[in-house]
Amino acid sequence: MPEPVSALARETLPALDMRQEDQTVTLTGTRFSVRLMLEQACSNRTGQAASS
Amino acid sequence: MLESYRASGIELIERGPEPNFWRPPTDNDFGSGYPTTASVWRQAGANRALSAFSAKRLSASEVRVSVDYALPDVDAHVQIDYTVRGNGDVLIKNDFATDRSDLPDLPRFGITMRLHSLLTASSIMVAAPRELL
Repeated sequence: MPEPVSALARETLPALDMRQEDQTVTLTGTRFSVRLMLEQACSNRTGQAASS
Repeated sequence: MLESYRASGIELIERGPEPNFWRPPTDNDFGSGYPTTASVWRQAGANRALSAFSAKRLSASEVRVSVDYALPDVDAHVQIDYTVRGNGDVLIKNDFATDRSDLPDLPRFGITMRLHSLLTASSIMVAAPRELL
């Protein structure tokens, strides 16, 4: 099954740091960071209902 | 949900990807009554309820975050896997499952997200099913 990144390329990908807290996962690379949150946490932060 | 993506210190998204099953009706849709007959799909994504959230490291440079939602409007589940790679790639895999066979035709199956206004040009890459992970 083909993959968007070849096996060889995957071996040379930069390392990814992962921090996991109660309701948040933060992933940090060399020039970027991605944060994923439980939706309840997003709602609390923005003051919006999760279904809005 | 994917809440933030910062590159070189700049936030790129305003609102992260969310499951979506609706599209604006066309004139033909109105003629056939489709917006009414398929209306159960309209808020199916918005009315989702989180049922599971997990993160798993796949390698030193890859992490997969899986989110599972119940869709009570259509008695279904959708699972979204975010695979984040050390080069900044975020691969999103979206799976839908239901046991119901009486649902109206699905208007659209995908995700919506809102990008920051700084992004005046963007590209979407969609892999065919067999090309995913």
